[in-house]
Amino acid sequence: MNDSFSWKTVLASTILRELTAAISGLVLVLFIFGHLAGNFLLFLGPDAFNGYAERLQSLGPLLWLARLVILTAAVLHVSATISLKLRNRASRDTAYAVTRRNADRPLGTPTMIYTGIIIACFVILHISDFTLADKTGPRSIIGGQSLGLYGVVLNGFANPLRAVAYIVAVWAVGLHFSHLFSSLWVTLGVLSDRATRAMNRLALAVGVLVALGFTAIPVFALIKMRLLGG
Amino acid sequence: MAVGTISLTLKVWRQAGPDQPGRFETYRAENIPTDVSFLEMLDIVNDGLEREGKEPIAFDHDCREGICGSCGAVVNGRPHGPRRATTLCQLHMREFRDGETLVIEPFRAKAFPVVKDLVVDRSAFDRIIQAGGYVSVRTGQAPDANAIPVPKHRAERAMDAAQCIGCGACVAACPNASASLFTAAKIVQFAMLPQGHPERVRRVVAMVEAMDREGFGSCSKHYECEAACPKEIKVENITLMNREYLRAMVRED
Repeated sequence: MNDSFSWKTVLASTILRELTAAISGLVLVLFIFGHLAGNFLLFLGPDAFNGYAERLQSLGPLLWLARLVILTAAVLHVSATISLKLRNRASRDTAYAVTRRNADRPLGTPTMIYTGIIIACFVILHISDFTLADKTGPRSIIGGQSLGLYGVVLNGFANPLRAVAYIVAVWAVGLHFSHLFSSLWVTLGVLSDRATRAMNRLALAVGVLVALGFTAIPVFALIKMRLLGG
Repeated sequence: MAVGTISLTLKVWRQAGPDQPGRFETYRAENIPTDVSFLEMLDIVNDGLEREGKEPIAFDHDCREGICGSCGAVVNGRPHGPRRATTLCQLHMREFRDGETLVIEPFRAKAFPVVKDLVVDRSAFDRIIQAGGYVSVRTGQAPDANAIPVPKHRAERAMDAAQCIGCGACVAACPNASASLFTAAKIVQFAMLPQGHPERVRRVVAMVEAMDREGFGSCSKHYECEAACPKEIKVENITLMNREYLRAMVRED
């Protein structure tokens, strides 16, 4: 046994990378929950929603600090998970002729890389759609009047193709999140066997709940713009 | 007592040596008594192969009573075959139907290179144990029994972890070929007991380092290891290993 504890060894370990992936995932999820809660103000109309957006913008340096934390978490999350994925693929060089899944485990787990890639592409689209959008430009105008970011969001989702793309992406978010919800407790070493198994059973339902929450926004916009005419 | 017999088609991985290409060969296993074990069924098939002057199928085995951890192969995608909590040697042919086709493969992992046919080299596990799977004991007279009190729940966790026979089914079953369940069991059996405390911090770091060095994957919580384990070692041990690892990061040795 090595006599001295070595941080170099710890930092290179797969356990620390799993931990990094989990904790950065948790940070991203906390952001997403805040983001979802804020976006629900859309249902209250342009004043509530635009007021919320303006208050966020007025935070100035605090907003940039939050963005830095989110960006750092995203970079750590992607680099830890991709390096683990490559390692895990290399750890079996000859594939089985017959593969079958015998464990009763959450649906999110084997699909993480796919839902992860969908989410990464979606984030780019999402930032260019809304964060970088001209909030007073032609895309904000509904009924001849600029409704700010509220108008940009509603006009954006009036295009059913974009609405469908968003709905697919947020279901990927839900499924991706369900894996975190089931696996986090093992990675952090915090919960008992019984509690961990309870979390596993709940994971898919929690993921579906998150996906439904996000689906509500494009569906709301689509109904308002297409059926009620803005 | 009348004994039923079944006949099966076997597709068996044949590989002459570590650096040789392998392939599946098809054999008939005729009139196999349903009360023989899976390994005895292979013995019968091998008798036939030898009579025909062919090379018998190589497979690992020792105790044939489910406690040594030597045997193991993947049968139709399941390490140790279809019966829960049962090693291949303790699996009986009554678990199969007449006329069934069985695909028999070695445990597959880069860290478990094939030696021959179904025999794989699991010495990677030995090197993980060498890194820290032991306790320091003072020489001299045997200590009094029960001189060190151990709470019952900790003793039970340690004994449950110590059930691990090191067969490698967890690695074989894991989509990542991770050895986390094995390594965790070997860490937890000592971490739970006062006898294991002197090396507690160094042990978890050293054994995880050894596990990584061998090229096993990481734990993505697929729970396949637990489903395949013939000794029903639980994923809870991986939770405890991770807890030990976090503890090592904040505790002085």
